[in-house]
Formats: sequence, C-alpha cells, structure tokens
Amino acid sequence: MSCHELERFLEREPDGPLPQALAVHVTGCADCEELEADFRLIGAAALELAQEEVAPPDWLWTRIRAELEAEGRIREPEVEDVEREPVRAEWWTAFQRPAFAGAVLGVCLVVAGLLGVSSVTIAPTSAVLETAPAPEVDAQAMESQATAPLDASEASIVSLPQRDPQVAQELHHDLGEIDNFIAVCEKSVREQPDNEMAREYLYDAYQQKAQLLAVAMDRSEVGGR
Amino acid sequence: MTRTRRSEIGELSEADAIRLAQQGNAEAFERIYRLHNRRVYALCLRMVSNPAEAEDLTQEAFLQLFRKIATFRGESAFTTWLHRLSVNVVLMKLRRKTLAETSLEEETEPDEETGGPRKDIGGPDLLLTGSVDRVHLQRAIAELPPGYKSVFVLHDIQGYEHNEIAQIMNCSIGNSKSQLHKARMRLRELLQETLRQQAREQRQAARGGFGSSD
Repeated sequence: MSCHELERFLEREPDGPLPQALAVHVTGCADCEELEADFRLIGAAALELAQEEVAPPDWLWTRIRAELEAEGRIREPEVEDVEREPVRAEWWTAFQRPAFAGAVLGVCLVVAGLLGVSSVTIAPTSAVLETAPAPEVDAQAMESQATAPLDASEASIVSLPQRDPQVAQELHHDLGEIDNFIAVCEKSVREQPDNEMAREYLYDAYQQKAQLLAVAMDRSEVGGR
Repeated sequence: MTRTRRSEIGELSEADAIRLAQQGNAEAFERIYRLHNRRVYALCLRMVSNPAEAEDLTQEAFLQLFRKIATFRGESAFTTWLHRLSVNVVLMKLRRKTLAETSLEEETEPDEETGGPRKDIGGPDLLLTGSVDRVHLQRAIAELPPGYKSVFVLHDIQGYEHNEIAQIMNCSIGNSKSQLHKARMRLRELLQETLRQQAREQRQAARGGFGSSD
C-alpha cells in the first residue's frame, strides 16, 4: 500500500473506514498520518461552523413579501362567511348580500311590531346630515322606515357593556363605522336625489345597521339570561 | 380558499403550506419561509462568506421558489428541491464572480515523486494541529472553487448525505464524494498557506523588533 493508494481510496470513500492494509500504511507513514490528523481538524472546525446559529434579519421576509406582491403572486383570500367573529366582518359580508340584509331587516320590523314600538325619532347620524340642507327626497323617510326598530334594539343593548365589555366595544366601533357610511350615503342621496344607486346604497346601509343591532340584541338577550 | 387565521398558519404542516402557497396565500408563503429561512441563509452565508450577499441570495432563492411553487408536484422532497434551487442561485452568483478565475474541476495533483499528497517543499511545519478554528476555516472555504465549496458546505457543514448532494447538485454520488475529498485537500493547502503567512509575518515582526532596538 502507498500514499497514492490512500488518496485514491479517499476520493472514492472520503468518510469510509480504511481497509486494514491502508490503516497499517497510515500508522507507519508520517505524511499520511498527518493528512488524516489534518482532516480530523478540518472536520471538527466544520462542525463548529455547523453549530453556529445564523439567521437572516427579520426584515428580509418583508422585502420578499413586497416583491411577491409587486409580482402579483399573492392573492387576497376569500372571506369566510360561516363564522361570526369579528362582528365587523360579519356585517360587512352581509352588506354585500342585500337580500340577506333585507331579510334581517324584515325580522327586525316584525320583532319591533311585536314589542309595540310605534314610532321612533332618529337623531341625525352625522354632522353631514346636520349641516346639509334637507332636500326634497325621502332619505329621512327611508331612515325612519329602515331604522324604526333600531332604537328599540339600541335600548335593549344598553346593558351589554356590563356583561360583555369586549363585545360592547366592538359593537360601538362597528356602529361608528356604519354610521359614518350612512352619513356618506345620505350626502350622496342629497346631492344626487335621482341617482337610484345612491338610494340603494343608503337603504343597504340602513339595513346593515339594522342587522348589526339585531345581532347585538341577540347577544344581549342571550347574555342576559 | 378561505381566510386562514394567523395562529393556524403557525401550525400548518409543510404540505398544507405548500398547497395554500400554490393558491397564492401570503401567510402560507411566510410559513414556508419561516420553516426554511435559517437553513437557506446558512447555506448562502457559508458559500459567500458575506452577510449582505447571503441576504440577497436568500431572497433570490425564496423568490425563485415561490415563482415556481405552482409547478411543485411532490415528486422530490420539498427541502431537497429548495436546497437545489438555493445552491443553483449561489453557484450562478459565484460563477458570475469567479468566471475565468478558477476551474470548477480543479484537480489536486499528486506529488510526482512519492505519489502521495502534494506538499510544498521548504515550508515551515505544516501540521495544522491547534491552528484550525471555525474562523480560519470560514476564510479558507471562501477561497474554494464553487464546485468544491458547494459539496463541502452541504456535506461537512449542512450535514447532507452524498445521495442528497447528488440530487441537489445534479451529479453522481461518486462525483460528490470525489469533490468532497478534493475540497478537503484544497482546504488543507489553504490552511497551510495561512500558517506559512502567519509564520512569515511573525518573522518579519521579530526582525522589525530587532531593528527597532538598534
């Protein structure tokens, strides 16, 4: 056996156990013994490197994501329509389905009728309503019609904050948003009284508020039991 | 496809994350990134020895992965696929840098007289004992030709078996073993050269010290 044979063997099996004949050669050859010792040292240093913890900076994902978005590879997920949380997602989903919202409104009207609610005065929902001149459109009539039972609902959920502060907070936030949206819709109707779409949006917005309050009322009643 | 909650994303299996990522789900992309980023970054860092370059290469590797993920059909292991892609990204970079500098098939020529490993004559004691640590090794790895570097990093640092390296590098198992041995031989030479350099500097410093005392 020779040094050259050792090298040829290591090319074939760099980590394999040496055959007996080669092992004998290595123990009797200073050069090969040195080579084997050096390889062990290199292996140990490589192990040290392997154990060194390295991680990319946190912002790298942000950079990659931005690039993916720019390339249009990230698609917005569809909205789940089964679960009810958060409340905002639910009414907004329902907003996109006027038939469902209308049905909820109908239920509210029936409930209100059963409760004996005859007439309710609705306060203006925003500063826009207060400052804009009252046009000769039936926006107020629409509002009265759509939200007549809502005050009853609002009254019934007054005690909600005590029972479920988190839900009450979410409800308050969602009501604020829908009120803002109603204000925008009202403004559109005033500015374009003949615009059928604007009127439809306003009516839908009222329906959403009705639905939101109906849901809150349900929770209030359930919580109160 | 439905909205997937963030807490659920953290629990997604790799297979589910791949399936959702194929549909363009951003959170699934992130899950895949979180599962593999350290290993890919470590591979890039060991190959280029420069954190900024390693970050760029990691980004490029994941971008290529996500661009191609719709074509992944599971015929090979996802990790192997990702690492093959990462190695290719790094090699492309290294080849652009070192084109015409070093041959990928650089041979370690045996000593003509003894047939044993080639050694420089007249150098200082070349035994590496006590003089090799991870810092020296990292520097030496940086000097390796790309082909040697890939196999050495994948096998001796990342812990891949030769059959896996063969898949990643698209070469034979025998070629992977041969390249690993040559990489180690070359590293030994580079480390010995470092030792010689250090010895020269010490001698010069000693001479300078004597000179200044005159």
